[in-house]
Amino acid sequence: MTGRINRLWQPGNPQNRVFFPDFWLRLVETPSVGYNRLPKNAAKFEVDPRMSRYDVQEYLEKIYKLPVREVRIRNEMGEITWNAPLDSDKRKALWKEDDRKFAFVFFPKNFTFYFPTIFKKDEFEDEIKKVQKFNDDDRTNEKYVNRDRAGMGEFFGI
Amino acid sequence: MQFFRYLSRTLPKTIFRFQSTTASATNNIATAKEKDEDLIPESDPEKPIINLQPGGPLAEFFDAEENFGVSELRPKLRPGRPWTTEELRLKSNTDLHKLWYVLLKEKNMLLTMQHAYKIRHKMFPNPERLDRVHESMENLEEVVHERNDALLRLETGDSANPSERTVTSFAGFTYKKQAKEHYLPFEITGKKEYEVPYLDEEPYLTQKLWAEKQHLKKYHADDQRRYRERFADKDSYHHLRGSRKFFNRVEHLPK
Repeated sequence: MTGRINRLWQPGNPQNRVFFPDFWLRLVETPSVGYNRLPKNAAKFEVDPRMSRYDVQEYLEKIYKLPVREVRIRNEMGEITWNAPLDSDKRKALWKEDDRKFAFVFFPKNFTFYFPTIFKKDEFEDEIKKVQKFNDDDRTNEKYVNRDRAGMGEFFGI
Repeated sequence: MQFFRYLSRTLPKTIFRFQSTTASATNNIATAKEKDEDLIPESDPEKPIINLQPGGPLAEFFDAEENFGVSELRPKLRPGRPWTTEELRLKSNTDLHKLWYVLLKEKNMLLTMQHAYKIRHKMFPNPERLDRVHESMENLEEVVHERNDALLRLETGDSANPSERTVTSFAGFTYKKQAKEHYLPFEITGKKEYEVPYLDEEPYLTQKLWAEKQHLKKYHADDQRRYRERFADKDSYHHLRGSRKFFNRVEHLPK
């Protein structure tokens, strides 16, 4: 589908078919508590803004072989940074983020999906903790050296 | 997932030898193939659908478990280079079609993982994977376009390139634009965006001034080049006059 020509459909034409779809889809996390919590047979995706709900359904059914019952779409306008945000009359837009489209996909009742915990082990944090532990031995003295000052200089870390 | 079983049978080694996608994609495909035969039932509505991989039934959207929370992938799991056009030209149309979907799923997986890292302000490991997948997909499209173009030229004589129109902007500049399909002809809608032979006063002046400026830019650039060349070897700074920039007489205009 090079050129990606948008062919119009008229009654009598054969079905418009796409052999190399360009659409992307990414799974997005949802809170596990609160009013934004999704049921366990639902998932939230961020989709290419050009997709319709039927496109999303077909995409998941045909490419990922998932039993999709329904898809609901929500469009979110990107954030705008204003030069004078409070002056709603004369403010000028400096920058606008891209608009995003989210699809809430509902599967049959026997379907369960939980977003996996990706960050169980955090290598970066572990390394920082290791270094801190190593330095703790050198810092033991700081706790006892100024005990007799009745809290003077505590603000400055002395 | 008949698709993957067939894929692994028809494309024995070439696709999975670190060329097409990341190693994690190959891992996912291998594990999916195994799990497939054991766990996924024929859709019994009473029985719950279980899958032991992280993400359960949507495991294809996630990387291999050993890559979770990692700041950089292990050397063994690091991705290879993208597919080149030469390699893709050797593949049949069916193979290319399948490869497209492999790449697409890989791209979706990487986008999901990238977002998970981004919202936690962490560095996504090996972000070049996305660029490589994108490049592979571009090369694939190019190869498919070549074949399509060749076929159309043989059968119809027209190329597969999208037809272009030259359009004139409000400032008088002409640029190429891809032709669009319309339901109604322009006689009814009154809209036609093509090249205009005669410009109005303002665009005409704009074009004249623009052309003059471009000409002078070129003239001054050439002048600077000649000036530099003239004094490249010599030490003499006495002959420091360049060509004229302002012309008071017609005789002084450059030939």
